[in-house]
Amino acid sequence: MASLWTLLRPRMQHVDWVQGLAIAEPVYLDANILVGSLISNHPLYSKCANLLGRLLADKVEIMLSVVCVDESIWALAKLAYCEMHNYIPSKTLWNPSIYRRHRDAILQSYESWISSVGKAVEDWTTAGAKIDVVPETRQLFQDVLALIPVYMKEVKLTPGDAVHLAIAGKHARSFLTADSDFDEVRQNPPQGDLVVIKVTA
Amino acid sequence: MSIGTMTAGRLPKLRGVEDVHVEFRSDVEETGASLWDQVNELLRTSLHRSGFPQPTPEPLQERYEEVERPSLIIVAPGIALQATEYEDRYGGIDLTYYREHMSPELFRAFVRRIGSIKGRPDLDVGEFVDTPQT
Repeated sequence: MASLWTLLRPRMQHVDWVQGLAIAEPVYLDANILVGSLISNHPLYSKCANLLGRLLADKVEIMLSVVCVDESIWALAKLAYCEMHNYIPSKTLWNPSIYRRHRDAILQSYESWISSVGKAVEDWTTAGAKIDVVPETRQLFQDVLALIPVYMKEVKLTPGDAVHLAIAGKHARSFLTADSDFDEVRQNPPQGDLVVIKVTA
Repeated sequence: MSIGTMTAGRLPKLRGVEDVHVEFRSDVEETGASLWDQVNELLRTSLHRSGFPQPTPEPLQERYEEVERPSLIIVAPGIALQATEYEDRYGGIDLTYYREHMSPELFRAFVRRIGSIKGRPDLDVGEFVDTPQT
């Protein structure tokens, strides 16, 4: 039986982003928002870039994780692979074995894409943006590790998404994402005061 | 022949050669100057008078229009884009707000990176950005 304290603890919220929505800091960025601001012409580009611009202009504390960087680079490698072969990304099979077969060609022609995430973060940080990499401490890392299986079970997230939510929940007050897999948070919100803000077309 | 003076005497008619077309082109970027066309015209006329008929050159104006560069739009110091790329990257971005609310260094870093990779309208970043499964 749940204790009264457990029942009274706040639950995460899941809201759609709209113009003018107040975003509490610190803000944890999902990879799709970061990459979505570096790649033009897709339906969410303007929203991703403007959201990022607002965070930078308002000197909001932004948080990234190694998982975010990993997902971003995988996505850019796939985009490069599709560009090389004129494939449609949504209809293209992509996995580590395909990457290994085409790695040299991808890096030969599109290394600037692969390095763009690191260069962007470096440029913005050097210019004064407040961007941190989390988890910050060993204790927070342990807390994140403990939450991953909980979110995989209760919120039905993939391991990667559970890592994102655990890191965001432990370090940030807002989590910006374009991933529909986090919609489950709306139906079944775990404990915490994090607000998951979904960017939609 | 003295140095600095261009001369063209009658060239001997080569056996088996009916037409010779000579054209000089700059091997560096076209600057729009007509120097090479003047040299070319001088030699063409000379060859024509020497018995080697030359084709009629296309009008100079048309040739310059082909190499004319589209105008560049300066977004920030050191960042200049053609109009189409500018529209793709900044068409929906409130640059005026960011220019007013960011330091010049941050604004430059921001506009330098956003939209720097050309995507496509059918790209769903919400689904696309993920760690691939084996």
